[in-house]
Amino acid sequence: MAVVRLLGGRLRRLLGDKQVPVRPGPVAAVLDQLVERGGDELANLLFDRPCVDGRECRAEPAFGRDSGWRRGRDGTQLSRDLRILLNGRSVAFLDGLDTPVAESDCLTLHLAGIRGFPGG
Amino acid sequence: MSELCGWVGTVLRVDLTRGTISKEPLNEQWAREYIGGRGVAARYFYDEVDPQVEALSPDNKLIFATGPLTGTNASCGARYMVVTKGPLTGAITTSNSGGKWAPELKFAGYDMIILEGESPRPVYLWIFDDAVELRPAEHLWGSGVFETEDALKRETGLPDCAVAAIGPAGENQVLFAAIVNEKYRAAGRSGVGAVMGAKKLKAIAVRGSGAVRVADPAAMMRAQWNMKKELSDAPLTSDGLPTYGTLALMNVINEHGALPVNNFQASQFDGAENISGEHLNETRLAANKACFACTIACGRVSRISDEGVGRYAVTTSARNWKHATEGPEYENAWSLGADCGIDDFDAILKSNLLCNDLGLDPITLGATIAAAMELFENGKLDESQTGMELRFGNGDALVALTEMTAYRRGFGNEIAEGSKRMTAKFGDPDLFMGVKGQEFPAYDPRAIQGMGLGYATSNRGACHLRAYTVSAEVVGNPDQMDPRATEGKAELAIAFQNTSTAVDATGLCLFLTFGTTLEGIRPILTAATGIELDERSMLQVGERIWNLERLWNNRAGLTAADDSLPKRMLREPIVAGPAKGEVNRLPEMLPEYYELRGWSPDGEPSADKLAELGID
Amino acid sequence: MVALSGALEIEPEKCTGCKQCELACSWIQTGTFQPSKSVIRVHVFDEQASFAPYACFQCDEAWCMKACPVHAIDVDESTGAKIVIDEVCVGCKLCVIACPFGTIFFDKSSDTATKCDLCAGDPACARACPTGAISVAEVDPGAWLVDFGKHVDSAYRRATEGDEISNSPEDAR
Repeated sequence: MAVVRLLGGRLRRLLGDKQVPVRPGPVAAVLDQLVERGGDELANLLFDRPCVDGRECRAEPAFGRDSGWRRGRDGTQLSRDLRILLNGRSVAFLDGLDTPVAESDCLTLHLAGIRGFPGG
Repeated sequence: MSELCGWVGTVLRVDLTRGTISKEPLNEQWAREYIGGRGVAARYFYDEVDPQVEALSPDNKLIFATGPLTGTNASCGARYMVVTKGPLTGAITTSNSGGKWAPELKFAGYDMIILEGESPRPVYLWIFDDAVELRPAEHLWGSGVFETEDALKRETGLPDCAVAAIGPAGENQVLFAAIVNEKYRAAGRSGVGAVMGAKKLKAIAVRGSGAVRVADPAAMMRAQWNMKKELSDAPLTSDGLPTYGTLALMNVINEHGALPVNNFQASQFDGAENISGEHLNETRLAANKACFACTIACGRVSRISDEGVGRYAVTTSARNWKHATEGPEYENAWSLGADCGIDDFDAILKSNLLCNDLGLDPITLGATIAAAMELFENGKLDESQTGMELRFGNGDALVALTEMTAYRRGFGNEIAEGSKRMTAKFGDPDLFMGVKGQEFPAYDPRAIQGMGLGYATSNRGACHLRAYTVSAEVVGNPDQMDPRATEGKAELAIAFQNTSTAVDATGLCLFLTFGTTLEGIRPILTAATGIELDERSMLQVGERIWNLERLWNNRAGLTAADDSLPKRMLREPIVAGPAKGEVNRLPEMLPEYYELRGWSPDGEPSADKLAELGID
Repeated sequence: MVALSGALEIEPEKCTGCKQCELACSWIQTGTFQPSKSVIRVHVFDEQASFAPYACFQCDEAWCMKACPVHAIDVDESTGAKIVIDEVCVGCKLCVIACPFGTIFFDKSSDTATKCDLCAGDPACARACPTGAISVAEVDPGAWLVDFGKHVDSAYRRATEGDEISNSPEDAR
């Protein structure tokens, strides 16, 4: 099993722990496993959908540019505020959502975003 | 009567040797070119202080400077800058603090205070609108900052006055003594408190009943309303900072493998979770708080745990509210924590509280103790010298040494010199982790390339605020950059340096830049002062101030050789974690930095660049 | 006694001590930033561990109004707020002494008393507060001051009508 580590109170509450085991696979598939566990409220934080509390999740950055790695091939759009690290390295500089997460890997998620930094 | 708006138009000049006080009009030309705060203070300092002076001599000057937006309702408009020659570094130092002291000075009717000479006896400066006096402070000499503030509020009969004071550390000229206002906000680095102590100035107490006017009131309200909205939309300033404060960074930086441990021997800390923002919120946070006019409110108010009370109990007031202290900030929890291998919040909180009361910079303190711990572990120091088992992880030693350092007692006298002098004295100068005599803050430059460049080129010695490239390289603001790469980092560092210098000149807090840009700040500055500045000119003001500081440093004897990093950063790869194998590749970035800055390959501003910036 | 209709509702747990309320109050009065003129003041408690903004509670007892010898304090019919009429005020400061909450002040520059008038119904402080610690509520402070108020009222009445003063809450009417 690989492991996903969560930073910030909100993500931890939604997933019930500071870290959760996941089956290996590309980052996109790992995120889907998390959504199975954390439900719609988590999905609203991770993806570009209407958010809780009536505030819009911002797909475009508040200011600055975005390299486009957050767009999945199936059209999903990651929240602009989500940070994903594979073994401490931002997946923006690996293969984005296709980055493989292997057996002993650790994927870290935190929000530098609307829900807080690292997480509200 | 000054026509200025935003600025109040008066500088207070105090000759401590003669005990005289005079008021002079603010140099309006310089105010236009350098805005205020760090900028105008640098211009006065450049004009009046010989770069060759000894930092602790009467020939050094100490300037407290507010900006034109200090005291307005501009969000985060509470800041002042202390400018002097730093005893720790021998360079110009510009140390920033928040709280409410700075707005009080504006309401009293002054933009800036210039302190000269040295008082024959301990004094404090009392400012109440037009009334300005030097009053005896022998009865306060030896007191901590907390007692000093309480005593001055009683003595002056004005419990609402704002007090900026030094503690025993400043009196004893500890080379990294701080100036503390409102008991828990500090102008911390480079030993500004030691300069104040050398001048025998115990405190500046100020109360102001006057007003700060703005040029275009309607535009000011509109601009400030927009700024408030921007800040409440931006994630860090609306949720992240208020929820966790700067301590949000502990887990994040650790996950990136950039958290220095045990004097930079490692870059990930097993105990990071125990000293993280999440853990503070769960176990010890009492409240968050704000500086004057700040709508972000990132301040922490923390309690020592009940278990910790027995070992580290503090009584902070006559009413015996137990164990509350402001802080810790990320830098403090790192330097007193991870860098010393300590993951006990209670020890950190107690040491942090003592730093506030005794007037010490926690960053240099923790870093120096860490270096001493490494010396001890290597057998270069023993218990007969230190008086204790000075090993990594020893929280009791940390707390004991904090107090000993402020009073220069026992081994504290060695710590009081800072780690550059201390490691040299005890035979291993390569264990000094810093630049220009000042210790690194909480980011390993081997894991974040741009920070290495920022540390090396900061005008006041190693500093994270001068070029906070972490914003881009880790947080991803405004754009996610690769912390492992060196391309583009020279341009990045210069942009951050110029921008944050411009912000420091306005009197606003740098954290504003987590939610907005210079373009967002510009309309407020224009509405307040009536002076049209576009974003390019604001950046140019930042560049002008930066070059002026650099020129002064060059004349003080600093050269390109001082824009360097310790051997450990350049040649010892990180041993484990996500950044395993990395060193900082400064030589790849520095030449481009000089070129883009318009400086010679020796790091000196060219005549063309100076002419372009209007510096003679 | 006129039943009052509006008052500031303050939630101290939300206050961060930022003083934007003081700046807004001074602004609405003078067009500049001058917290010494503000009639809402942020108080600090517990070694800066907690804060609360205080302004006039527009109390039912209206101590200031009762104390004023020249009837310079009246009730604004539209808001229920007690207001100082500058032209009548002679600057004697009896109201400042009378107010048990310390929320009426003496302004040296105008030589008159100054207090919160709810900004004629749209308080600037409530607009400026970034955390929502200050809002306007339709509330009768008698609702939370009722026992104390009744007790004091009864004590006052007895004193003026010559009866013995009782400190017992049961005697509150």
